[in-house]
Amino acid sequence: MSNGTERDIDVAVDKDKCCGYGDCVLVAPDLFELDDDGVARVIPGARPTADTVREAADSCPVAAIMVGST
Amino acid sequence: MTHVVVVGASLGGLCTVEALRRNGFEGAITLVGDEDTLPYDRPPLSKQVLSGTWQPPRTALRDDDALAALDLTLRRGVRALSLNTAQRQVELADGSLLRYDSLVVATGVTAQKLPGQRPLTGVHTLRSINDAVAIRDELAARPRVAIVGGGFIGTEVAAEARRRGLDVTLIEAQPVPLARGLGNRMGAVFAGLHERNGVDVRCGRWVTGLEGTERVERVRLSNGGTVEADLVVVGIGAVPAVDWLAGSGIAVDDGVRCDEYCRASVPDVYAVGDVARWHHAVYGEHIRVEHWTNAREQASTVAHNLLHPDAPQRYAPVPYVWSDQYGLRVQVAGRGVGDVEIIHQDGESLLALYHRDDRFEGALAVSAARKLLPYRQLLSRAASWREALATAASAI
Repeated sequence: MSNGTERDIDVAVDKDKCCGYGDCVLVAPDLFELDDDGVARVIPGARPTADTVREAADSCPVAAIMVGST
Repeated sequence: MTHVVVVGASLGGLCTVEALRRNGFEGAITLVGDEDTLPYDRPPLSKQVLSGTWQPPRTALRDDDALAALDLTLRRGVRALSLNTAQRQVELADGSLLRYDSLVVATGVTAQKLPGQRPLTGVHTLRSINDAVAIRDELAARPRVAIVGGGFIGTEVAAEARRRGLDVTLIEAQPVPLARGLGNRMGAVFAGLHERNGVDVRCGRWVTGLEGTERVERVRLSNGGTVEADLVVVGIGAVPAVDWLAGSGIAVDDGVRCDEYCRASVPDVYAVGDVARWHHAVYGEHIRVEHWTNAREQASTVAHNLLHPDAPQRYAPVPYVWSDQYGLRVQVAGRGVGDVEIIHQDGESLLALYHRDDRFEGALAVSAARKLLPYRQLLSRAASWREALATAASAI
C-alpha cells in the first residue's frame, strides 16, 4: 500500500475529532500545523509521502487524520 | 483457547481490546460493561452534548461494524460483582461466571456525591451519557444554576450555562478553581476568566447541605450563606470503581495498585485508565490519571504487556488533558505542580510553565496550542527546567 511516492494520497483532518494533541505535528512538521484553537490542519501546498501520512495518521490518538488515495 | 476478560467497556477497556487485536491476539475476548449503551466517549459529555451540538449517538466510540470486526463478546448492562483470583473467575450481576486467562480491570471511576445528602430532583453529577442528557434538558428550562466543585467538569458546565445566559454560581472549597490541577496562581487566572464571563465565583467555602422539598431550592454554604438554585451540578471528583475487587487479593490504594508495567499485585491481572494507580518510573511515584489520553495510551501498553509478558514495556507517559471554556482551548501537558512562570500572555491567550527546582514539570496553554508543542516535546524526554527556559528565550 505505502510506497513512499509523492502523489496519489489525500490527507485531511477531521476538525470535530481533533483534540489538539499535536502528535501529527511532531511526527510530520512539514505536513501538519496547529491553529491557535488547538486544531490541526494540513499545511497548504504540502507534498507528503505516503509513508509520512501513514505515520502521522497512526500517531493520532483520536484517529482524526483521514487518508485516502485518489 | 486463551480468554481475555476486560471489565469496563469505556475508552480504556475498548482500546485495550483493539490493541490486543492489532497486536495479533487471536484468542477469545469478553468485554463487560455496566451501561446498556455501546461504548461511548466522555469528553463530549460536558462539551458538545451539554451544548446540544451533538446528539448522544454521536458519542459512540465505534460503530457496529468496527465492534463486530473485533470479534468480541460484549456483555452490556451487567456489572461485575466479585473476583476470585485463585479460580480466575469474575462473577457478574446476572449470576454468570467468566473464567479468564488474563484479566484487565477498566472499571473507571464513579462521580463523588455530596456526603449525607438525601436525593432531590435537580441535583446531578456528570459522568455518564444519561447524566449529560439530564443536565442538558434541565438547562433548557433556564434554571438558576449552582455548580459545586471548580474542577474541569464544573468549570466547563459553568461556561456552557453562561453561554445560555443563565445565572451561575460556582462554589469551590479551595481558594481558586482548578487548584488541584493547575495550582493557586493559574487557578486565579481561571477565577478571573469565569468572573469576566458573568459567573458568581465563590471560593474557600464548601457546601454544608442542599435544601428543598422535592426539587432542590438552595445550597447552604459553610460561611452561613446560601445560593438559590433550581439546578445543582456536583463535580467534586471521582472515586475508583474497585468495590467488586474486595477480597480478591488485588492490592487497592485509591485505585488498582500496579507496577510500572501496569500489572496488578496478582499475576495476569492488569489495570487501565482512570482506575489504575501505577508506578510512573520517571516521576518515581504511583500516580492515577483521569484523562482521556491516558486511558488510550495505557491500553496500548497493557495489551502489549499482556501478550508479551517476557518483554514488558514500561508505562511512563507525559499526562495530557484539554478543556473547552468560553471558546478557549485549554491544554495541560505534564503536571501543573511546583512554581509557575508565565512566558506568554496576550489577551486570554497564555502559556505557563511549571517546575520544581531544575525539573520541568508541565505546561498550561490557553488558546496557545502551537506554542505548547515544543514544551510537550521537552516534557516527553524529561528535559530540565534550564532547557525549558532556553526554549522559551529562543521563542521570543
